Amino acid sequence: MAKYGMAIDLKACIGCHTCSVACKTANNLPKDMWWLRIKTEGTDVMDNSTGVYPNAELKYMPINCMHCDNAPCVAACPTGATAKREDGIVTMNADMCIGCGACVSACPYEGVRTLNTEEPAYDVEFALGAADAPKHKANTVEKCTLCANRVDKGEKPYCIDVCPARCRVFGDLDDPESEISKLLRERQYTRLAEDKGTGPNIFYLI
Amino acid sequence: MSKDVFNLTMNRRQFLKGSAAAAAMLTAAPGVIAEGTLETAGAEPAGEEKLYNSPCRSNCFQSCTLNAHVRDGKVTMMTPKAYPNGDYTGCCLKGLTIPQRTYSATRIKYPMKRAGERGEDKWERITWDEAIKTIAEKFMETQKTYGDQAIVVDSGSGNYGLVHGVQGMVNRFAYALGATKINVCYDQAFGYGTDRAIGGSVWLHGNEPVDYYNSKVVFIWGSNPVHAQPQSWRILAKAQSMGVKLVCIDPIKSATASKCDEFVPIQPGTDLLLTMAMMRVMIENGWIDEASMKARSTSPMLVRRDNGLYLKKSDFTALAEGEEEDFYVWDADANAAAFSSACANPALEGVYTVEGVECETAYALLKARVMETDLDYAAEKTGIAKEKIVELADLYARSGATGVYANYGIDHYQNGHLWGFALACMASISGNIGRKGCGLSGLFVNSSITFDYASMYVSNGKVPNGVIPQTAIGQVFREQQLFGKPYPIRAMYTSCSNSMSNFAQQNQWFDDILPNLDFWVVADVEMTDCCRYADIVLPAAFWLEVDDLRSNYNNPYLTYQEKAIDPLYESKPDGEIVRLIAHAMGLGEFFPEKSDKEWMQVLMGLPLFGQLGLTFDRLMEEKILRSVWNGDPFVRGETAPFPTPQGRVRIYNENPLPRTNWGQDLTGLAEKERMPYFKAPNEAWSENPLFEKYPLVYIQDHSRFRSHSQWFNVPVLRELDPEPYIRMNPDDAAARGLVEGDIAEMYNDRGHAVARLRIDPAVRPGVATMPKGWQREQFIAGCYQEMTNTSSDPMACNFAYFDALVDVRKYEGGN
Repeated sequence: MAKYGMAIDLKACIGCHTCSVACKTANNLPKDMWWLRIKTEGTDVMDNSTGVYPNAELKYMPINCMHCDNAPCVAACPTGATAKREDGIVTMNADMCIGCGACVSACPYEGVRTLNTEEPAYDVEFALGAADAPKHKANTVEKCTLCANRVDKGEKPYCIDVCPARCRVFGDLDDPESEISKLLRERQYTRLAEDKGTGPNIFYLI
Repeated sequence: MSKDVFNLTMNRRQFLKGSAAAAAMLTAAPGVIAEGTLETAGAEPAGEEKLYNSPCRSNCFQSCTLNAHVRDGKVTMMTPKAYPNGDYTGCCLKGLTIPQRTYSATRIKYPMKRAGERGEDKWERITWDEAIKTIAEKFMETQKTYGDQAIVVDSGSGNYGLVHGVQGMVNRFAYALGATKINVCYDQAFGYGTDRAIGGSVWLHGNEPVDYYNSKVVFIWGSNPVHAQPQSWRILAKAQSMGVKLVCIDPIKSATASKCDEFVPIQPGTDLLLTMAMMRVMIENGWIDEASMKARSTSPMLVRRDNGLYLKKSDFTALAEGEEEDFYVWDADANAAAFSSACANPALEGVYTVEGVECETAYALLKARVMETDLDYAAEKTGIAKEKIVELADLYARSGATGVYANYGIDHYQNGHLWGFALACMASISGNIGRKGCGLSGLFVNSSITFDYASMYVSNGKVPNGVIPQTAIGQVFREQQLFGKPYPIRAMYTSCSNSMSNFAQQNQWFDDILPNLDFWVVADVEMTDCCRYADIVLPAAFWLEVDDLRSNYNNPYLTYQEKAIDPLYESKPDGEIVRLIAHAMGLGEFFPEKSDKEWMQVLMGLPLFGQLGLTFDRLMEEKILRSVWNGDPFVRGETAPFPTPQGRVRIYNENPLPRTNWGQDLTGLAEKERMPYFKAPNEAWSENPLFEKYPLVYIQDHSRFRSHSQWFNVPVLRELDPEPYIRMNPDDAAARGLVEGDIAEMYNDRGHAVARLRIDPAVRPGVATMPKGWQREQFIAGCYQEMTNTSSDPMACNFAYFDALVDVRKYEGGN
């Protein structure tokens, strides 16, 4: 069985948000919902540098659900709406979710989830994105599905191939010959909040 | 039909069916996305998804082709479509929002006429019949009262479709009317300057982007491709990963500067001075490529001291019919005059007398000009230490192959054209032009094919008057004169253009243009600044709603816009709108009813297309064709001579002409501008007394959320980038008592803009920035374009947006 993960080359990432917008459009995300965010490091202001001119530095950090090995959200979910598949993808079942927010509290990664407090609203009158894009319901929590609907058909998540900087790689971590496995052998990488024991499967190449 | 657009299995099947295009896509570089269909347009069963080839075309200096996914007759998403060379395949966040733009809630849906004061935004819906009738009557009345020139046709870069965009049918309209067609002044100076040396007019200076792989060093100069041209950045980044050193010279520690191997901070507007200083260092140290200068430049050619012109064969002997001109050099071996065409070792320097005419080599003249540059002065004014200037000159001249990535940052000062000229001269004397890995890129425009614009534009024999630059149109509106004679202009037709937002010095519209503009028609897809001040607004069809043709730039392809959906609401294609107006004006015979595809065939009708196999049928089949045939990668001056009279880099231009002549004062400039020299910026200059009052240079950021003013109100993008900002260095903010998030006012004597303050150490002290493209209604007060200046270099006739001084203060209210 495959175990899916993603590697993001932070040296190559240009913070352009093309992945975010692809995710938003292809999954028909409602207004003000983002499953994939790009943080500017060291600041709350998008695109601001840190340091002192001319040595100021600008770095970006894309963030989405880490699809953890030991996903605390799964343990915290009282209804079983949050579950981990055999291939490692952490899913959210909107029909079972009661919007209690337990997963939000349990997750150490900020900004990867959104609670639909109201009926989702959209900019366009019909559903954008793929025909099998997830449905969005009021009083449910949403997050990155690693495009499970696409992965099930043998495809890659949408955010991968749209990246103009080619900085995102998706693949099977259990396959030593996969591109992602090779990259993780060749390059130094870091993962977020590893000390929490979550075993995140988003790898940041540094 | 599969929805699996990224599914390679699908493509392998198609590959086996034998499509050459699919084969090319499969062999593209890793990471390249394969496309899912090669079928042609047609109705699909419910729920099925179909893909339409869709080149994005908003003049961002990239040319991505996307797949428009259509389901149940609606565009649901965009995905990048593979180019034969996968390094060019890509998309950005803007292109992915084409569905949101197409179905925008604020899209202009039907014709409207103004029902309040201009700018009041009160409208009355009218029928197309009423709109066309009103426009035709007003235009004919204007022509009758004031003459043909009294109708102004204004088109910009809102659409790069060759049928419906800026190069399209709107030109046939301007021709048939004998109208005034405003001469575009966006981004003209740099290419006008490089043309002085390497020819090719304003746009044809760049090499094909993948040639960066052949460089040793690339100077990214006054440009921010990471945010502004991410597809080009991808190629630069790949070059970097191959060992090419990237050096960024910029006043801002930009996103690009953060990615480069070296950042060289520079005072705004002094890049020309740095270039002159670098050339001096090269000449003083002998870091010049004499062989290249002798073979590929006019350096050894003799220039007459009596009139400053090159000494030519025809000066003494009448040329036989069809005989080509030849130029005199001094043969260093024979110590005698010789023709350039027959001299292997011409002298590069010296004063010689030929047939009694005293001459000097062009290089000697350039050298004397360059040596006027004082290195200490250059160091002081650029803010770059002398040692660093020497280091940069060394790096540029002696790395083996140095390229320059430059777009239009430095173009936006009044010395921008001289920088383009100087840069070409520097490239020439150091041997960094006309071979792989070298040259002046940033914008690669395909010059390998030309379209049959004549057949598309010319109809009844009339031609528009195209001499009045955008920089001067306000003055001509105000004075209603040209060349000192009456020149009434009273009505205007605007398409693919948001001129009110993009012309510098926006208040000129309120002071000079609108009060003299009796009738203004604007066709667009969204309510831009132009629309809000128009008298009639027409709903234009958007990109996916027509068949069209695009000749890409920054990649080598000709691409087909395959009509994906019918025009929405009551919108009509731009070409159809002008056809209807022309018919109502009695010009119907000159506007035959041709389909978009028929016009595409007209454009592709020149013999070269057939000779190259670039046929219309092939385009319909493959949708993307490589149309650059002379070089792979194409490198200017390599496979063909430079398009100058000498076929060489013209380091001395004997006859520099103004880009357009509308009666401006050109006294002394033709002689002075035969070679580059340091001309200080007009306003943004430390020695300008105005600097005391307005100590900050105002630079307009090219945001990745808009290209010019397009995408200004796409909700998805506004979620990420909700409002304009003013950006400045922490020290400058502190000195003014300003803190992050303050509502601040940027101002000068020409106007103001009020927006939230962003304090960013990436900004050079003494600089304030604001991203361009926001519309007036999106500001708390004023607009980003009020502080800029229509004052223009008389030769370049170009908007010098950054050549402006401002100050910033806490906003105290008011309009």
